[in-house]
Amino acid sequence: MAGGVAVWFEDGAARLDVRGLEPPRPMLAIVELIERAGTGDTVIVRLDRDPIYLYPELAERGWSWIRIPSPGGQVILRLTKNSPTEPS
Amino acid sequence: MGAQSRLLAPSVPFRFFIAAAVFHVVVWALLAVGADQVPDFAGGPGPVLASVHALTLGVLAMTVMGASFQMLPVATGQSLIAVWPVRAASWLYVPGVAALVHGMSTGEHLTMAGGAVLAILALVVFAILVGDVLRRTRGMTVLVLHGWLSLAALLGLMVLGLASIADLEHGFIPQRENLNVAHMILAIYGFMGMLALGYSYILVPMFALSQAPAVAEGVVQLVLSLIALAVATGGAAIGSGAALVGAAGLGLAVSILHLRTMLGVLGQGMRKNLGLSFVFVKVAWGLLPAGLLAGGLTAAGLLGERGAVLFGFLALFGWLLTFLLGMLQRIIPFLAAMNAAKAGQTPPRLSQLTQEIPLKFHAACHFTALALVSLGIVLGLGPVVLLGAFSGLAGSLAFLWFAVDVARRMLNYKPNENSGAT
Repeated sequence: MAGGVAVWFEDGAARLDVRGLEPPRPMLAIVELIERAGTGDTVIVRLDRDPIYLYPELAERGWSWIRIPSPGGQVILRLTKNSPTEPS
Repeated sequence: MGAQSRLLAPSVPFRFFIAAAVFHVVVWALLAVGADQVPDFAGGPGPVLASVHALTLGVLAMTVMGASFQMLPVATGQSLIAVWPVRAASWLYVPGVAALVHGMSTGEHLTMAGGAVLAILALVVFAILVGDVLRRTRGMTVLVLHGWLSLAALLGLMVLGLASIADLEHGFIPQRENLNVAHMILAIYGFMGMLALGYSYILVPMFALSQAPAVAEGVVQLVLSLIALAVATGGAAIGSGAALVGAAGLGLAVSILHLRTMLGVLGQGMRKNLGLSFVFVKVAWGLLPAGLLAGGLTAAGLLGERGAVLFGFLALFGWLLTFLLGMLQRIIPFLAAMNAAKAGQTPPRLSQLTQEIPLKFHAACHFTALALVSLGIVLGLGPVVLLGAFSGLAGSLAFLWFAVDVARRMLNYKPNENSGAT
């Protein structure tokens, strides 16, 4: 669990589905997950909408993101922890 | 498409934020000009009234407009129906408030009335746009209810404000002072206060990385606030001191509940070090009940002639301005970070956009100003108010520097394309 949301692992990545949650719960769950030891370097997140307020938090923590094409207006992000030498 | 797809062009919110920072300078400058009149101020045109409206309209409402146009659609997931009315509102509002403040300062009735009409037109556009977003929002009950209540108060205070300006020329209102007190209460605790409380339910958990408070808790506090506001406004309109005392007592109780809720949110937050901005927020939270206490004691006749001025200063400058300056210190760099990066790029760190020295200088000046002006009011000493106003003026110039510098850094930011996002 992260921020009260279930986390599961699949294909070597931690996964989180925060659809249906009101702000700021999605951001809270994601930040809690990426700050936790053992999460790994990749997290896949499924959201209702573009998490604009999350991006500065990811940048502060040295994580990058890629938006994966998805149907029906939902947003899927692949979050990747930057390597120590990579600028964040 | 990325984060940028949901953001307005940076010129849209930043025009409101920069204008607010400029009016913030005007507020303290006018207070310095009218320092001798402050302790015994009882209304009427002049630099003190102009300073108050430079604050309420030029700083507080201006910031609320900029923040609401950008942040409310993002938080609720509901886009504005169009962006051009936002730009039109700024073209009406900024010169309108400037004219109104100038007219109030010099006593030129036509300038005052013309400025008021422009400002009200812009506020009507604001109310329509924000009301439309609130109407379409599903969930976020506490924020939405506070938003509706704020818009209702805005309608009431605009009507009373226009009537008050017309009365200056035509003198048709029998109990003019009562109407002005009702106008002030609606502005402070209705329009601005409800938005400050409502946004706190979203922004404080977001900044502290904490769970939002329970909806029921927020709704109960809102209902109690609504009762206090209705009793206070009605009591002011009919000149009932007992009603004002009762409303202040209830308001005081609700404000303590609100602080308890907010401190609970901070206590559970993952981010413990919230920086200088939350020093402002916490001081503002402390001055919210202090202002209500001063208001209640004044209505009960226990604070003397200057109690009403102290109440107004604590509520407007102590609570609302301090709260808003704390929030702005976070919101401006936050929005700048998101706007600095084009699609496919990582935004800069907030620390890359923010100069700490002007903010620290501003904090020292602002808190000194609050203490000195309050002391000057209590002691009835214009020179002490003047010292406080000079301190506030110096701080406001530092804050303007900070805001312009963030905008400059945002525009000049050169992201590293290898650290991208899409």
